Amino acid sequence: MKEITGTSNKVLEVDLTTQKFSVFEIPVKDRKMYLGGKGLGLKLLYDRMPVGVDPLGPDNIIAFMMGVLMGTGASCSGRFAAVTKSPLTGIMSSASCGGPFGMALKTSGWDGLLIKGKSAKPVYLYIDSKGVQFRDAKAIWGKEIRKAQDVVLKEGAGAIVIGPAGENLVRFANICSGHRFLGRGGMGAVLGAKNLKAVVAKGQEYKILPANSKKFEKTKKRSTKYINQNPITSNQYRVFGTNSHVMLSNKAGILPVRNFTGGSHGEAAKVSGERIVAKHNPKFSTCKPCTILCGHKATFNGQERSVPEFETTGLFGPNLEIFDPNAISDFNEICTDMGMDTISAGGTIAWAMEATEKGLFKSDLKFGSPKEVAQALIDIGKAKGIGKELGMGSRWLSKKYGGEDFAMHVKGLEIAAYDPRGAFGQGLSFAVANRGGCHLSSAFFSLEAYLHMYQPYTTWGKASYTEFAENCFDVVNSLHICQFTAFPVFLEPPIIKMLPTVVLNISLSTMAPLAVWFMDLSVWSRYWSSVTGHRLNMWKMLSIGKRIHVLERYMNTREGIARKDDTLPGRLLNEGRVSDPKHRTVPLEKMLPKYYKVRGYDENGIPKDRTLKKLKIEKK
Amino acid sequence: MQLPESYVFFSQPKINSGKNAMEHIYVELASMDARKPLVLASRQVTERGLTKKFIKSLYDSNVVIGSLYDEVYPYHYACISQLNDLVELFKARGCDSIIAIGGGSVVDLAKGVNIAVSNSGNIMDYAGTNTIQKRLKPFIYVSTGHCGGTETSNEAYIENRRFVSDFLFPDVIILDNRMITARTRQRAAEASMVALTAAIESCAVPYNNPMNDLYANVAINFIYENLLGVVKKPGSKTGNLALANAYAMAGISFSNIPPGIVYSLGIAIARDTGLPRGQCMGFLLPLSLEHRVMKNESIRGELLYALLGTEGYCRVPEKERTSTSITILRQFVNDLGGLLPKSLKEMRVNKYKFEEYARQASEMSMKRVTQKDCMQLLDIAWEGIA
Repeated sequence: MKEITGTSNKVLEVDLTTQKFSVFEIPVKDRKMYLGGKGLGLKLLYDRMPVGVDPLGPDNIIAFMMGVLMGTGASCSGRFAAVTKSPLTGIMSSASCGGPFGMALKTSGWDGLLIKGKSAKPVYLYIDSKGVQFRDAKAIWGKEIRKAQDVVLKEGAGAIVIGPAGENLVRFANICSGHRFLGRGGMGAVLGAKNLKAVVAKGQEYKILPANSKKFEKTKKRSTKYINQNPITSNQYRVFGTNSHVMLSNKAGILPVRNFTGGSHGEAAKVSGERIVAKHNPKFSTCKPCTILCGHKATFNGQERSVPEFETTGLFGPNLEIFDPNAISDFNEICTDMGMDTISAGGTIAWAMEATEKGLFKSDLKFGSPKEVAQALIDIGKAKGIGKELGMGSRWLSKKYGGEDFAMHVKGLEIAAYDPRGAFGQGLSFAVANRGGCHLSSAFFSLEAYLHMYQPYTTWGKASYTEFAENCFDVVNSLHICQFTAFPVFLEPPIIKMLPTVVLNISLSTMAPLAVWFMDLSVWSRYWSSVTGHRLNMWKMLSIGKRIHVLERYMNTREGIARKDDTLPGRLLNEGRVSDPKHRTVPLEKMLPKYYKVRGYDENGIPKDRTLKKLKIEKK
Repeated sequence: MQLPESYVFFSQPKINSGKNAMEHIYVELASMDARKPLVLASRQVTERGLTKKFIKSLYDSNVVIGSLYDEVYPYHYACISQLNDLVELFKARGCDSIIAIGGGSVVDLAKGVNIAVSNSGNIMDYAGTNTIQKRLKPFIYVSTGHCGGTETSNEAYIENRRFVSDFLFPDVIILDNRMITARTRQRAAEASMVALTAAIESCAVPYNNPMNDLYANVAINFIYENLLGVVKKPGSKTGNLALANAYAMAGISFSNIPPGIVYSLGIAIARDTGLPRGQCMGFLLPLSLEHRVMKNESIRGELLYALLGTEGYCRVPEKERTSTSITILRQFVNDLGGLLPKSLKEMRVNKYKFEEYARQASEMSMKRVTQKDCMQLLDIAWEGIA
């Protein structure tokens, strides 16, 4: 087997209109400035894509970017990124995915794949180390994800595939790789609009070797040690999966109940991770390589299926007042087959239920009734009946039918299953997240509501930490490594463990930027430098995270995003939760100016010229 | 001015403007056989001390405030959940009329509550044009300044859906100096642009409606004469009162004719982008008139009369009146400087959405404007040069 030391630095650029491809190399300067994965993907799109392109038009480009860690065997590195302009939000969207495609493309000798244009008829791409072949997709067009995947995987080690939802341009259609998804922002519709059903990579042609294997092994050992020490990654996620969040959220009052009207529910335990372990016999089913092992399979309705992630459980469960794990698993399976994001699907269905109840929208959907949900999901995927409109997402629906205050989205992206009225920092994080209502941009809820490292009901230190975490997670998604590794990196270093909780609370709330001294972010910078052979320390790495974040924001502001869009659904700003006697709402206006200040944006949320200059982002 | 073969003009509201206008509320209520109003306001109105002033003005009257609700959400439309709560409140407190203090969603909500308490069934069944068939409860609108004019019109936006009916006009419009307070320059410019668009589009068209022209002309003239002054000096009492009068008249004038191309496109763009309506309409207005001239479509020279008054109008030769009025209007918008954008490009509106905007605008104008015309105007507006 041939070997690649560090990275191949080669990216494939495919034009579906002309059915031609080319190869270009990433300049070392760009690699050093944007690391790889999401960061580099954004930079490539920034250089190539004009402002104002139709996300579903041929000019939109979708980038699949492998990070430098893919293929090296680094802990939890079996992930790749995709970046494009989202048809759901109309702004830049990025997603992270496990599954075998990343490894297959990387070991075919490619660091990335850019796709533009539109094929005249349905095709799929076959990629090996020699390049790209355009193949007729007639036989798999219209097929559900798993059936199509079974066909194309005969030709390679990994594939990305879209389902009927992507073909029917459902605005929250996703892309599947194995049993993992590029979930958010409707990337499946971008491929569907290009008449591209799948991309299969031969894989296993190259072996990826770190440039400095001694340093790499040492870093891997430390990273694995942290992961195995940390109670969240070594126990909570490993045993209960992400559904361990159900009871934690319920206790903290941040569980979405009945379209975010309540914050907790007496029946929540029925859909918790603990209950799934007790009743559904789960087994591991993870990304590769993975040390955390959060993914599980279990038995639902007599079949072995993937255990729905917490977001799916939260939004198809308590948020629709459904407390039957088998029903939630059914919805998850339909979304898998159709190829749809469960967060956006759940959020949109919840809007439809409430809008129906209030006489704004006509459907048979009602809270607590699973039967109609299953049918609606099938209809969305097939773009039939009301499914055709539901597939446009909650923002579109609420603009047409009303109910904007309870359409739970930010910038068009439905918010994940955390009620920010019980975690104000998460409220800020949702409002300013670059891709819309994203819980992963800073994942503040975990520090506020689960770990109690921040007081959830204050605004102190929230802007600074949000900025810091966003920078960190942009690094994580550019290396590319699993975001859950942040828990051990943040929490396992001895100083953090030794500090009394009160002292930690105060120092984090008042001196968030200094928190970096307590953490061991050098694990990530050492990983990158050991694989590439280029020098990188954690301070420089954080400034790269900042650059990536601001570049994405700047690209979004060129599409019209400004302060007016950095907001939350009216319900979260004006109505208290049923479970909260004080009826608290998110004091967003208090936090926004502070956030803009630490980010170097002007009062309208636009990155200042001097911020761009400082970060060496060329203004266009 | 020619008398048209036929025309229809309807104006329900009584306008009470100036000093101590609020003290007339109790008389107005009594004349409508009402004495227990539900009073609606937003939190901002209360924070500005206006609710207090309003209550004080009723001290010596026999009006009993059924309920004062000043928690109206600051949305750009009335929201159904709050509307349902207020309907319950109206009934529970035995109210017989509604008073709205403020603008935008407060007035929309008041109109929505009025539809609901005066009719049976689901309120959304009354969405659309002329679906309300009977007179509603007495409704008084108290202006607080720069609100744009739709408040005094026959339309309301409830959950983003447009309700149009002559029964939705306020019965009385109160324009009291004490309530019309200074806001930001930006707000003044944006609200004025909405009203100016409504007024110009209802009188610059070939259809001649002399009564409508009168209202529209006064609205245009008041805005032209006072806006730059208010922008320069936002605290100007007379300037703000004149603008409030202009908005009220523009709303009435606008109610008598289907929305024009700029108004409809402005609503469509604002709804999608979240930008203020006035920003979307302001720079489109002169462009639209220039575009019509380019297409050899007629624009009535009376627009110049509205802008310059009798003397100025007579001084310009008949043939040059249209072009002069467009030049003046262009200059007027330019004089607002950085308060309004100059092109859709500058506003960062996405070009691929133009077709959707054109479709919505044509639908809203009841096909008075075609999608083709909308697309042409949008293409011009992209760069901002006709």
